[in-house]
Amino acid sequence: MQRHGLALLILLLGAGCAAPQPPPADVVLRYRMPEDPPTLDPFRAGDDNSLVYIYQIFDGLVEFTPGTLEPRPAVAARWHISEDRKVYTFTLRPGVRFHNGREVSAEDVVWSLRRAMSAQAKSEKRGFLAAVADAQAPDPATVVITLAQPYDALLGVLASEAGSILPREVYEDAAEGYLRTPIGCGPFRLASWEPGVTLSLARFAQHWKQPPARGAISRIDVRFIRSSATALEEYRAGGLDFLQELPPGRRAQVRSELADQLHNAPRLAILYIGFNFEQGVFRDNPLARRAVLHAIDREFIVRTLQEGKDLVAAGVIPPEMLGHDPGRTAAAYDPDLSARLLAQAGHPGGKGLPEITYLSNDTEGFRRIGERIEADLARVGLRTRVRMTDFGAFLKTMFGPALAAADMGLFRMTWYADYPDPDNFLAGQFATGAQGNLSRYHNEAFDALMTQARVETDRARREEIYRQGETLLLEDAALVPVYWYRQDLLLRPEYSGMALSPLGSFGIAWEEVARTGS
Amino acid sequence: MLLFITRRLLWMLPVLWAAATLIWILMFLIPGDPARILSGQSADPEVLARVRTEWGLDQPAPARYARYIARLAHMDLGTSYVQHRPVTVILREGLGRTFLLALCASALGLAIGVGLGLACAARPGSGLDAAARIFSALNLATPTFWMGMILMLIFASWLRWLPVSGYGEGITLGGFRLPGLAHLILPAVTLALFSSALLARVARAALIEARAQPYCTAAMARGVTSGGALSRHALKAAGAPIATLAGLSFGTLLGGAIATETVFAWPGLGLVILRAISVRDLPVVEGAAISMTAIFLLVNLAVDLSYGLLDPRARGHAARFRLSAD
Amino acid sequence: MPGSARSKSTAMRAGAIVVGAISLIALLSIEPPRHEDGGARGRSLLTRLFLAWGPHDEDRAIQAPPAPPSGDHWLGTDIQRRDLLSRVLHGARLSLAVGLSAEAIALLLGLSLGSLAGYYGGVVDAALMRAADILLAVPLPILAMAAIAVFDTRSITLVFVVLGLLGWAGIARLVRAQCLSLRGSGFSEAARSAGASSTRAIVRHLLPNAAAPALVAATAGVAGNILTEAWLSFLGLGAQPPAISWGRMIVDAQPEFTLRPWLGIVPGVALVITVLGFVLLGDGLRDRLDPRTRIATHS
Repeated sequence: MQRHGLALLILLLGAGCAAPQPPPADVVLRYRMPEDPPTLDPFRAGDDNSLVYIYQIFDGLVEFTPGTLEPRPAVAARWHISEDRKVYTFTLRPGVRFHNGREVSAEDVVWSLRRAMSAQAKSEKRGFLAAVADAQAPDPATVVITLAQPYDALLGVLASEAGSILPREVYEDAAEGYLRTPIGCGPFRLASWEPGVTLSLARFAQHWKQPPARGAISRIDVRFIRSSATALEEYRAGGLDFLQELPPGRRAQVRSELADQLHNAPRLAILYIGFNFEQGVFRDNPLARRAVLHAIDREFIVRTLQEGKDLVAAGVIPPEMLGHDPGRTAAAYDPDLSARLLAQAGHPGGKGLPEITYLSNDTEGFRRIGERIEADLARVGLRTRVRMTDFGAFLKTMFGPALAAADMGLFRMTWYADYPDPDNFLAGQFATGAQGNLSRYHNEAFDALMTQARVETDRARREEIYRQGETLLLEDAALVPVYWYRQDLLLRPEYSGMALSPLGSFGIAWEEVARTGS
Repeated sequence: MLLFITRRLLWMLPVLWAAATLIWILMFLIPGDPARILSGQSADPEVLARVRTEWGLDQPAPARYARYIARLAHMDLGTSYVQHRPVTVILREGLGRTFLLALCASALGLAIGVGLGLACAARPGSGLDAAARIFSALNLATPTFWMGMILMLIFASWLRWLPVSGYGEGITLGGFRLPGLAHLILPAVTLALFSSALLARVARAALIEARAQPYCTAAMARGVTSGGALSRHALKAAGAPIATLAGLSFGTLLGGAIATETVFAWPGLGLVILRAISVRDLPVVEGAAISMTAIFLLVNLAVDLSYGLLDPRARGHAARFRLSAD
Repeated sequence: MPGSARSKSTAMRAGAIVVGAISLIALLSIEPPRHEDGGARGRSLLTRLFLAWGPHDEDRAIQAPPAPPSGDHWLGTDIQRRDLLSRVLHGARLSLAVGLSAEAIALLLGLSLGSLAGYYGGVVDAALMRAADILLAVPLPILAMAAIAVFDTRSITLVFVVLGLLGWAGIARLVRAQCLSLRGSGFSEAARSAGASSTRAIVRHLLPNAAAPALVAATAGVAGNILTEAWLSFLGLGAQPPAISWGRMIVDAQPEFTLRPWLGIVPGVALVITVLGFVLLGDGLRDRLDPRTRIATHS
């Protein structure tokens, strides 16, 4: 099959070179997604299936510099931050248009912000914009955002999908027609969508950004192919240009055969094991928690179960994010130490402990990890019951009012950054009362640090505080970090200019990528 | 005849209603908050409250049940919680593809089963009989999804005669795209082998018994050779229980199709249901279960109607074999 | 024909041997709760007496799991470096436990409800048979799947309870048919006129006659339950680790099946052998116990 694929590719390339060059407007990037986007409303979208399109269709005041997490001007040409860092004044770039032709004004920006903060519009992003006290448009080219407290993470939030600028006349539609025909001011617009089959984005000719001189992508055609194995075959046969998921078991093979096309991109996401801090043995027993920490073979999980795609996590904050400490080393896999700690904790060999329930939602990968963890814990004497449920039941248990009543002692958690700042990644998961604090961890010293860091305006000092907070968590064994996610991407070598976004493959700025090879 | 059909259709209605109620009760009991699913897993209580009002989730159970039944009476299967599209639209394509697969597998299974039954009944106790019975027993004992994996391994991966998975590109008939023939073979054969096993056993027993009946022995006395007697007379008599079983096992076939579809990436109802269950898209699960039940009942109705084509005297046999075939 | 009778009893004997062997393996696979040196899992008799590796033992010497068959591991290992031979053998316990328990429940329900329907007739009969019709109308796999999805916990107990509760309809119909034919022959009138209470009449007269076809159906039912459990595990709705399920092993092997087929082939073969054993046993029982089919198959 692979030889046929190669022959086919050569044939196609040859045909491509021999035929007269099509006009530059016809560069089509062929993409694969497993299924339809659940929503195209930027304020309701949370996962890759939606964000892939949203980042292309919508633009905000600022955007991330490709390949980094640094905000740079987008719809706003420049901005000014007041001395007390509570007033942000943005000056809009002239001539920015929505896909329906209308020019973008400051009124639209303010309206969109208000919508993002409104429950009536079912916006999921309200929490991220909690720091915003007011937004005004004193003139059509100026937006003034006033904060209650300094909040240096604001630009990162505005660069994410929460800062999308929407045309009011389209998004006031009570019938929600905009879910099928979204209108933004981003580099691509929705051209067509056949649910279950394909979705097409076409380049927006009047976008404010200058496209690459030659070979700019004029269309992105997405095909919905459920099986990653089938998608890989398609890619090999030349039917796809870009792939952001490899089927299990194939990584080594793809790495050796398609080395020049495979990229391993960072992501701002972590997989860890959390404890139930409202009841059970782990609540008040840090020694027991540390026993679990050293009982689990992280290396095996990453190297064998994840085929080396991901990165063993030494802490919480992932590389690429402010506050990450490259000097940390992951806790060692040491079953003997673990057994000793367990004995010190008052339960030698697991005596006196009831069966612990490990909760996770059910995917193939998580099943394997669950089996591994069950085996690792059994080795030191901790009897574990693996409880795999579907996603809905998992959320119900974790977000339910009382973990004290829940049938869960340990849970597997995957956290994707909502916006690239440790305020979301660290405080958002472990500060008392935070929406993402599923373990109900409670540590006043940590809370104090997080509050302090949120309003800190000196970047270096801010980073230092977050590092201290992370150290506190790790010493208290508030969680068992397992790995930081990374993403395997395949892109045909004739494309250049792609910068890997730490956000994930949906953050790639396709408007800056060109097909330069033949 | 028309009276018979009408009576049977009317009888179907209460059964369908009871099944629909049973399914509704099950879905109602499923833990997990539909409001959360509808809002895309929002944790914001205000948003959830709005969603609940919009979708009528805050109404008491009897009211919701009444709306559900009223909806069904209009053949409206509701709106998907996740895709916000009508369930009928979501199911239509998948149902068509799964039904096509089940139909082909049924037909193939019937052909194989009856063929094996004929071969065995012609010469009971022979080597052919024993071999055929072993073949049937093996097919019966093999899980369909595993059979599918093995056949895929042999014919698609090793021999490369057939495609590994997928639906392929066939011609389009009236808006419905048919699968590629090569893509249809492996999944259909997988399902057919299982259904043929049960059919072969019943066919064999029914044919042997039919051969012993007076009208067959009379024909043989008239000089009709064994083969001829079997195919014309006995088959008609044995047709009823065979057909009954074929109808009943259509339900098992639908179940087997779900797992087989995941093996072959066949874009039918199976994948839709599994995904809907895992994301708690209850209207889709409800709709799928009800549709499958309705189809199953209709298929059995068709089977009952076909008795008219077969020997009316054999209707008695049908009843007996319906009992023992379970 | 003598040939067919002999081959039939050979088949039945083969079935009985298989069922017996698998049952023995299952019994020996029971694991005591605690390990001697501190681990949370004991070693079963099967492991202690016959096998080099337990089903949960990790072979840390393997560098690149899963490993193909070798001298050390006759059937190779899985991705967690566990011996496949040991796992396949220990998997018998779950299949058998589910198959038998579910059928026990179905048999109990079927016998009681069927004899009630047959004995009392009238409204009771009509109601019960309608219920049976409805249960038989909705395809069992769909119903089982929906029923299990209702609960957010997946467990073995749930599986066999659901299968048992949904599986009584066929047996009930058989028992009822027997009761009806016996009623026709005046059994119950004679018993009642002799002063026997209705329960006694049912238990002493109707049930023994109904037992034979019910048993045959039950054997077939066990085979069906084992397959349904495998199907449910394949879809992720069955038992969870550390419980070992053949269906689970097959679905875990599926993504890399073309690269490492032995991981999926072995548990499938185990399933086929086990189910075949019950099917042959059931056939043999039917030939011996059920007079109707005896006539049909002797020719």
